[in-house]
Amino acid sequence: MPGLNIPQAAARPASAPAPEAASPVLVGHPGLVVCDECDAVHKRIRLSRGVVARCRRCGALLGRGHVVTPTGQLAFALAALVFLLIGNFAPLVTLDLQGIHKTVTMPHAIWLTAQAGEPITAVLACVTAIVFPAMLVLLRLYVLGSLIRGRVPPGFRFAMRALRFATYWSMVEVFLLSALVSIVRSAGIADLVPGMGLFAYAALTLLLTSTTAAGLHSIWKLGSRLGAG
Amino acid sequence: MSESDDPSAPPVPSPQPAAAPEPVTRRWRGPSLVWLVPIVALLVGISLLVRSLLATGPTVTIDFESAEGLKPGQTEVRFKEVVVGRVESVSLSDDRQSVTAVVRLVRSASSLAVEDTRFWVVKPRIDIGGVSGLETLLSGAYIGVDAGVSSESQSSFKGLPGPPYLLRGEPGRGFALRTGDLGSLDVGSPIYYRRTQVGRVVGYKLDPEADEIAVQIFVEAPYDKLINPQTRFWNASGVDLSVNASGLTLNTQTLASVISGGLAFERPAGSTTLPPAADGHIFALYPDRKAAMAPPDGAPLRVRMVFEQSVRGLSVGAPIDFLGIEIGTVRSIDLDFDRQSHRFPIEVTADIYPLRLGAARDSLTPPGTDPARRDVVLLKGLVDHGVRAQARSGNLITGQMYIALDFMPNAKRVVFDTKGEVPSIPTVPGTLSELQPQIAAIVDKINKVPFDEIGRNLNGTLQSANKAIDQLSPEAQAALAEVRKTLAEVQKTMGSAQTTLGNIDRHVLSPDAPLQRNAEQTMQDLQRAAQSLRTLTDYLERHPESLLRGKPDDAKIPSR
Repeated sequence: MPGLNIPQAAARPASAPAPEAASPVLVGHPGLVVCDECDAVHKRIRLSRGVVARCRRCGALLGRGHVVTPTGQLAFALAALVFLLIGNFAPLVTLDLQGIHKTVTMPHAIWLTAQAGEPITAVLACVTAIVFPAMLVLLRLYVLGSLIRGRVPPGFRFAMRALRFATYWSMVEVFLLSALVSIVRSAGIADLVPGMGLFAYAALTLLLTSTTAAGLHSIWKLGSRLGAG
Repeated sequence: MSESDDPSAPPVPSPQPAAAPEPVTRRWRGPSLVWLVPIVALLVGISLLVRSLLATGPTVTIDFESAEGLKPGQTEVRFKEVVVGRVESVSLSDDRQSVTAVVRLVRSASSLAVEDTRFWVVKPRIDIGGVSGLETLLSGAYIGVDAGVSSESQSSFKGLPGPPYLLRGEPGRGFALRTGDLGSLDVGSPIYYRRTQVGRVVGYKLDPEADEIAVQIFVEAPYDKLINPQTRFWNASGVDLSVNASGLTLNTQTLASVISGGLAFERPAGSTTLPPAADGHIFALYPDRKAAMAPPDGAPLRVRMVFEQSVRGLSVGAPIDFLGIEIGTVRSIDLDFDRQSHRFPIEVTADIYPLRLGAARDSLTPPGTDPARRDVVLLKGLVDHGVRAQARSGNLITGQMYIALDFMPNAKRVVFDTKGEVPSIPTVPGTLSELQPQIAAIVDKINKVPFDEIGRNLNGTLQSANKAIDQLSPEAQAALAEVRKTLAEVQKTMGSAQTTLGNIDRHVLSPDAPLQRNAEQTMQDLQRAAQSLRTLTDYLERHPESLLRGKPDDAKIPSR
């Protein structure tokens, strides 16, 4: 069932803080939801699994009924952390070029890219494939770990905003795709053997996709229910 | 829920029968199944960790001269071309004398970390023996390993500067050669047998105690069987150029050995059936093939000879020659001073090898002599028979001398002392030194000629001659003019004489001269007279009667 459209002239108490663009949940009104695109205010409804809620005015995605409970998200985040560690410490690829035998890990590969005169690429790769995924996973662990135990963590709102930012900038799947493309393209020149690290990144991609797909609404809701803000 | 857990318990009948009873609900208290995901991830991570821990073996540190070619995290350690480890880091050692490479070995190769394992960096090398390690040009250097067999484990090693020349487990045997001069030999120098390389020099060490060099060599199997205790080794580095009666002979081993040094060996004839020499057997290294293949000399006999004249040209090492056979060499030459005669005798010490006398030695020694003194006794016999030492000029161009032991026809008898430690061979002055006094006498005579006086007299004579010539010269000029005149006269006379001769020629000698013609006519008349005389005599022979009767009439001509 689609959520009821709430008239724009919805009465809002003057004392209530103005809704922030970054947060789709009106902290003072947990029963309302604001469209990310056009700021239309809708009534919050419960979505069953597989149902998608869209804005009445612009059709933007408001939320989807999801299988993954906060507990499940915590579990996924933990698994993602493990795979992130594996992906950064296990050999990523093994290169075999005319007797030159080189095994690199992810940080080493980025370092070599910087050494090869592509510092901007290296920094971008480092940020999008290591720093933000790690931030994403760690913040989720921090926030969810606290919320599930029934406490609102300090700096909850800041953490949530950082989480949103990290979600946009984490590009593990892009990295994985480009790595696969590189392996295929250089097959004629050198033997690139994908190592354990690349498989770990593949698993990380799946996990991060499933966790970010759950969105942040549920966490916000949980937080507001526990009296965050 | 504090209800009874027994599902088979019959539901308690409700007091209000109108309402249906609620079923018993229970919550799954265990963790959600979603937790399997991180558990699996953890298991994967732990398994990876365990696997890498199991795969890594011990860490060893190796000190090298320089870190050339060593890349941390990339340079491999290979044993028999199998990767058994990897260089983890390269740093300068504490004393800054070397670099220290930290190498992590794989677990299966942890037995390599023992005391006598050797490591070296394999780089492309070019030496006389050829080119090696070319594959590292592309793949970068790697660290080679020669596995040790010791049971003492060790974690810090000293890297070799180059590949070891002898790998463990290489089939073959090592021997030692003792020499006084290394020549151009070096580690890795080849060892030739019939100009085929069968081994190499694996090291050398100068032994200050014995003052000689021990050269370690390695001969590969199966050629090591060629080495028996009688085998002779010699230094094949040189070019052996010899001039002999058959002309110029040039003997060399391979060109490589000439450039880089090398050894060669040969087995003397008759020793080929001997069993192979034991590992580590020590041989002598001879300077050349001739010395190596010479029959053994045996123990030398030290002798001394005192010369009363200059031995210029005689040097240490000069040969001692007996009837043309070299039987020894001069060891030392010392100058002495004799107070009684105020002379400087020169004492020459030499080593004589009696074995070189061959069969003569056996036949010269009387039977039953003490073997320790037999050579002295032999020498005494020779001296008693007139053998004397004489310094002779061996080469007129270089003036080198040698000492000849020879039978001197009019040698004075001497007492040969056999008791002393070093027997002394009596000497006679050399041929050259006999000539010297005669030449000196001649020089003396020449010295007595008053060259100065002769010169002065000659000078005076020349001066007076000069004066005389000066005085004579005007008269001489006048005389010359006279002479010219006289010559003109003579010429005239000659002219008239010529005309006279011409006349004579015309009147007498030419064929149409009257004298000639008259003479011819006279001769013809004479001829005719002789002819008529001959006819007359013929006629008279046939008709002698005509003298009395006169000529008969002619015969009548018959009329027709």
